[in-house]
Amino acid sequence: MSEQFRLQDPGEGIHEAEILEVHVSEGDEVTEGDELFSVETDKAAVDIPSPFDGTIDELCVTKGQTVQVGDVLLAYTRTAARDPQSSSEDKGKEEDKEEGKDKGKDEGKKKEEEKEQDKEQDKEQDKDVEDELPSPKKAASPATRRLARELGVELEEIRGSGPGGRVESKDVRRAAEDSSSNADPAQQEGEQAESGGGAAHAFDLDDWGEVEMVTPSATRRKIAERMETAWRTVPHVMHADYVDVARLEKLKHKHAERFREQGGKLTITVFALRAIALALKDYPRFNASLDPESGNLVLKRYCHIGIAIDTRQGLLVPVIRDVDKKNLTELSCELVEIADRAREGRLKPRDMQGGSISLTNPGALGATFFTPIINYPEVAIVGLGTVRGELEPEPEPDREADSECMPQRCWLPLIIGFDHRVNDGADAARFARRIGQLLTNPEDMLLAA
Amino acid sequence: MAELNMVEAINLALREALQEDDSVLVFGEDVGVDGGVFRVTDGLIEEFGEDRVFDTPLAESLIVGTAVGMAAYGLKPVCELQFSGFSYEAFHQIESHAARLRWRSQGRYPMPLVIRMPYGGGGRALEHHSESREVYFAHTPGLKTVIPSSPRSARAMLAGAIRDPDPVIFMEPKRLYRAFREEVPEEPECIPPGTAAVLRPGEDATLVSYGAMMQPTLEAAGVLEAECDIHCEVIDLRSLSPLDTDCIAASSAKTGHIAIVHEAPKTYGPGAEVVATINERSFYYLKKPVRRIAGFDVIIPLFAREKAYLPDSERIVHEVLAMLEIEKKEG
Repeated sequence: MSEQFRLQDPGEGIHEAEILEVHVSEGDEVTEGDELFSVETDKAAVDIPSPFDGTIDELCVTKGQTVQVGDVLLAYTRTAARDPQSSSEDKGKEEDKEEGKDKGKDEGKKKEEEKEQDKEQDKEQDKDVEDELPSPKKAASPATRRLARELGVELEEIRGSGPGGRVESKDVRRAAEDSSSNADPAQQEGEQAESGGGAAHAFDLDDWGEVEMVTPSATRRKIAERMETAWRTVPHVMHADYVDVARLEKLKHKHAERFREQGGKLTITVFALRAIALALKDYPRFNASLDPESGNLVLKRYCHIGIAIDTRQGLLVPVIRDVDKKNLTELSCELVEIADRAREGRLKPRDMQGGSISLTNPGALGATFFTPIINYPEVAIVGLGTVRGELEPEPEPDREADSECMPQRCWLPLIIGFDHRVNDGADAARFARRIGQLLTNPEDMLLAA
Repeated sequence: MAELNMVEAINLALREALQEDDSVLVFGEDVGVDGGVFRVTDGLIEEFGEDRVFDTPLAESLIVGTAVGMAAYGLKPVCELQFSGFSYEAFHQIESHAARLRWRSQGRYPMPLVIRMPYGGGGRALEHHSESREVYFAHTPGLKTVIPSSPRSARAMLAGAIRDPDPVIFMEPKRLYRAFREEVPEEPECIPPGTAAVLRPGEDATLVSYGAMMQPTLEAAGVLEAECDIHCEVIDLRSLSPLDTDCIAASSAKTGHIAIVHEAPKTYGPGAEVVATINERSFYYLKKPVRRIAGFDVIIPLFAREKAYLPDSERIVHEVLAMLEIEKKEG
């Protein structure tokens, strides 16, 4: 008998995924663990292994398609003898199908939602009679419904977190916050068409000439959502200064080869990681998050630093763990490794979570001053610009660089974007100066514990 | 002044009314020589004489019928029915005459009478002594129905009832007669029918009650705050008719979680009217369905099972936590 394999909820609030690759064809025999699909979720690219031994009867999705959690990806027939558990599962699925048949007249979208709701109910195993009734409507309190109306959120399109899938006020608020990024783009476009068109129509952009409509990738939409949340939530302030990195540049050139041999790359970023980790010890309020519920400041005892990586998919910010406990060689190797993985789309969602602070260095592309957005819920981000100024040739061997002649200055633009709810301008200036001192006097950095 | 129990507070209100207004009369079964079965009218006959405070035959219909006649001719009778369960004998006089005469005469005959009646459970008494049938009266147009929950409010509400131009049913929770004492101020106070009171402010849930159920309701609010950090606003309705809908609407809009507690049977009970009021006035602020914590739809049990029938603080706490979908920690 054919069974259905659905896109499982991978947690972490992921609702949909884009099919990057289909690794099997209809008729293929697979064993448990074989890769069936590669998909890109809001957070990362992941491979979906087969949880069964069997034959693929039907593929229900194609490459490039966006699928929702709970959507059927393929139908298969098991080869192995079934255990009793799976047969009871089948029974549940049969019932699902029966229900689906009854509601066959409904439009597809609605049916999907009901399936989701049914699933929720199965999961919750709620005993509430009210919730067991097959209801085409979402359950919600009058106060929640009023909130949904006020925020312009469609209750039917929200996944309820309450008992039996009931939509709570917090679900409505969350939906209102990420309505743009979480909605199915096709559906969104449809809705916009109904209400007179999408952005192109909304601003009459196509009145002025030909336009092209591009649906952003899941990653792009996730970036948009996260940036919007950060920008709306955090009162951003920028502090910028120049830091003299002449000696650091010399040190970098001098030891570049040795690091390269070990698979690392000695860059300003590596030094900056070390300097930030040390400065965070002196200024722990920059290694923090504001708890929106209690208003408390959460000070983090760990030091994980996010690194902004420019990839084909867009900006990704993988996190290097325990920066304060690693030496420059380890940091430089890990930086190369994690940046490669980011560019190749091999990051796991966890790789991009749990940062203390983030570091962005567009210096290589050319930048003097810019205003980076904080990687919320962190409370600060460090930006590095392009180093300006020339280095003198190495001083004569018999003349120490810093004894008689002034070394040539090299200026690194250093930017601190900070959450003004947590820190003030003076705090940021002190924090920046500490980082600057360490970068200017690399020996301090190396001698620090 | 002094700390009085409810019996003494009502006695004080009657004495003040008799002193203040010569047209006030007090009568009923055993209210004169005997001073009332609960001693509520103790000493009044001695102070005001048997022309103004007197005993009647055991005939409730006669008592109310007499009061209706007196009120129509400008007196202010305050009569007592010994227990609310005996008021059905007088129901025809109450419903068909007291409640209607002012309307029927297009205002020519005023009807400023007060019918006092002890009622309610918890006194280990018999069925006709213990039942809660306040909605019979609250449902009747032309009547006002008020129920005090403490000595001080009893004294002020009785003053308000006696001054009211309409017939007022003044129901006395006999469980509270001697339950506790309360400071009653020297100067007279007056609470007219139709005003509720917020006894305790809170944000998380609203508990609405009246009469004898105020005690377990307040107790439950204390437990919820102490053990669960849930802050309940507690409302004493005081007047079932007219109902203070503004007070109910404001509080329910504030908290969004409402439970009503009464010992009257649940079906068609006062709780239903409160729910309907919230529905009409503050529906879009509701976070959860309104709970009714009420007596069961049975004749109130005799005293061996009476406790199981009456809502108590434990039941209220349980229901409020269920409403808020909070699981109470053991111990």
